[in-house]
Amino acid sequence: MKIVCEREHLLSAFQTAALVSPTRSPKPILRNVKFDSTEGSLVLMATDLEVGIRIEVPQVEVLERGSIVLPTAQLGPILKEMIDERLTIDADPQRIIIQGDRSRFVLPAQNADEFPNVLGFEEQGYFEIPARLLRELIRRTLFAADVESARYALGGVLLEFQPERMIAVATDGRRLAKMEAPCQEVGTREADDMMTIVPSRAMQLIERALGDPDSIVHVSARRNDVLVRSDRATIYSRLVEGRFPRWRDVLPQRQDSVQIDVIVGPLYSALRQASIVTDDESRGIDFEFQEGSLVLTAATNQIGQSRVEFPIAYSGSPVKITLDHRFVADFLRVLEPEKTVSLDIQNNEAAALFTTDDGYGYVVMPLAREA
Amino acid sequence: MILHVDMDAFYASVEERDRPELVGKPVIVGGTPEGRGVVAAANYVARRFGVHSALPAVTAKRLCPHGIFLRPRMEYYAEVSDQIRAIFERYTPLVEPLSLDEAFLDVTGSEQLFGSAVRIGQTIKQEIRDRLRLVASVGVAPNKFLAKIASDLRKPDGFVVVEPDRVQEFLDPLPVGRLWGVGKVTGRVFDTLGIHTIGQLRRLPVDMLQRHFGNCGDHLWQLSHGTDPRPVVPEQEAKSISHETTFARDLEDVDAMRAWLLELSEQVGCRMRRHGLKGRTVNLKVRFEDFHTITRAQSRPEPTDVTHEIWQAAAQMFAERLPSRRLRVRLLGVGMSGFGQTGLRQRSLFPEVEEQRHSRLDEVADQIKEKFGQLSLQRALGMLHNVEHRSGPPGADENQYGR
Repeated sequence: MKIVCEREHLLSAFQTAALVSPTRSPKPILRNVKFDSTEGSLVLMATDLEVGIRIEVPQVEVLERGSIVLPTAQLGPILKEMIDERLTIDADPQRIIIQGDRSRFVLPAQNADEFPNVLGFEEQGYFEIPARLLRELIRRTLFAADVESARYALGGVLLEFQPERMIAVATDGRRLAKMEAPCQEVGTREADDMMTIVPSRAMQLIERALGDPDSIVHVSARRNDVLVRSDRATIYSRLVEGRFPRWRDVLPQRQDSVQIDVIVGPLYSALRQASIVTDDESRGIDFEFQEGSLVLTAATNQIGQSRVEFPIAYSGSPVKITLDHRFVADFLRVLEPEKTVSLDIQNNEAAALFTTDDGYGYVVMPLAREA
Repeated sequence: MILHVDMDAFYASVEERDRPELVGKPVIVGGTPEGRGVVAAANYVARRFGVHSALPAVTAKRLCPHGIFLRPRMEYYAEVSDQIRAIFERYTPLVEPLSLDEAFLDVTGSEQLFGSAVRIGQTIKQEIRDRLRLVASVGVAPNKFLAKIASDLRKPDGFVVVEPDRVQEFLDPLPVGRLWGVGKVTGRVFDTLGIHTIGQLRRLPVDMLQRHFGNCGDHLWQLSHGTDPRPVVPEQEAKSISHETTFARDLEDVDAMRAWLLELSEQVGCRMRRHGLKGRTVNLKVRFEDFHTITRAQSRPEPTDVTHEIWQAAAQMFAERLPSRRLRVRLLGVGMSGFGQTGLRQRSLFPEVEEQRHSRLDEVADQIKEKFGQLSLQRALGMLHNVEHRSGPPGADENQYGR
């Protein structure tokens, strides 16, 4: 195999692929990235057998087709530290030479056939969604997943597909984020009652591998895995086994609650101020809605107290709820500061519901006195 | 100055006090005359027959066939213990109970009000005798370690004072086995070194101790010089609750170690629940045969007092976060810290069926143990450890983490 390519392009694709490549593995071949060059294109592949990626490197000149594997641990620093703009990779059965104008590296060749197959996207039935919306779907839900939970199914993001709508849901049992976006079904797929729970790690990778915001991404969920094809890469992931909780049941639908519109920026600013005097043991912030104002207060033994007030359009009777400030901050952080969110609360025993006008919902359970 | 007040044969003495006809007879609390269960306490008459706590009742029956076996009345003993505590608290707020029948008191700040520490010690001992008709042994010393040795030295009805300027004189002739942390294994090492008294130990160079006992070497050296910086910590303010145990023989069997972790978790959980505390962080302590000691901590999303959760975290750290080398284990400890004082609890979106079940289980188990004694009910898995490995009941007196 012999190719000439732009270092920056190769580095960018390689860094995304390297996210999948395990640093430790009982199968040493997995600690490599595979280069597969065919007529006019170069595809990098990496997998840990749970998650796999195929990512194309643009602007490559293929002088001689072939497949090689290169060790992730060495190739990363080489591509990062070289200062040449273009480089040549020239491989024969014994060794691989990476050559720039001023630097030259020689690495031993390994048998590329040992590298496991990384599935490509060959599905006929799938959903189309713009990269911009899929990114929003991921960013607005992924943070709520519970990577440390013993409840394994909470360690991923649930994807639900309706003919024209895709829904992503993540929860750690104390708060839950749900985001909906329009999508388009293409072809037909086997009807399936399986739950598509994508591991958090794969979701992160998918977000990284999205290209042009207006490009169309293809998503195909199967019984045990999911395939996602963007304009840059194809990602394969096994699904998380287990049942996702009945999330619709915990989205409050109330008549007798209080609805208040708040703008993200000022609320986030007030929250950051109020939470200065919290610590790991004491994370609660009191949200008190009064005529015309929202008052945030916190008090922690030996640290201090805070009180932050700002005007809001509210004219009902006073209502108070105590929430973990981190849960609220996680939500505000993924929204634009000028966005308006609607807050629906009832009392300090029941969930608080935050919604936006673009399909986003976030439920947070309060901190309440021990019964 | 520190006082260590230790009630003499507490449970048995309470029974004798309430039933004078028992006085002079061998009284054994816990176990049945049919030889079931385990001895919780024995009076001094019974001890002359070799009966002691943690002994299987069947053995006690053999050693002391005429012993009077009584069912423990734990709730009642706890009540009496509170009365004793009330006497302590008249003299100092700094009371650190170790169990129902012993406590450390820091009386340094009280000497202006009530006279010298010795005077306070005598008064407390007398009050316990007059008001409660019970006998305590008292040690008065500059620190906890010395006070505890002192109270034990002339039991029963002992009163031993260690003056600050006579510490060495007091310690030197005592056998090394009196030092905290010297069990059978360490004792054997001392035997081979020809070290029998604390005085001999004190004269050894500290680096030699470190060579033989690792980190503990330094600790032993400190103790032999009568140094112990641990403060008296009233339980309400405790930053951590922990239990640890040193095995008479180093453990090799992983199942036995897991079983021990469960038992230690149970003791920690039980104590947390008794004090209405919930902790966020579970601590694990492992000391290997070469004295290398490792501590690990794991924080949980929500504070807990559930035995099962504490054990899960401890066992997980034990399985996943220790060096892979397979050394035998000399000591295991489980602790909890990060006690929330807010009284607030994060509500859950979904019913926490599992946790509620375990919580209910703990509650019932605690009640049973309260009534019939600590050994009346045990988890099957926890019983996998062989009883003979035990060097004694795991000490509840050490807030060792973070040392």
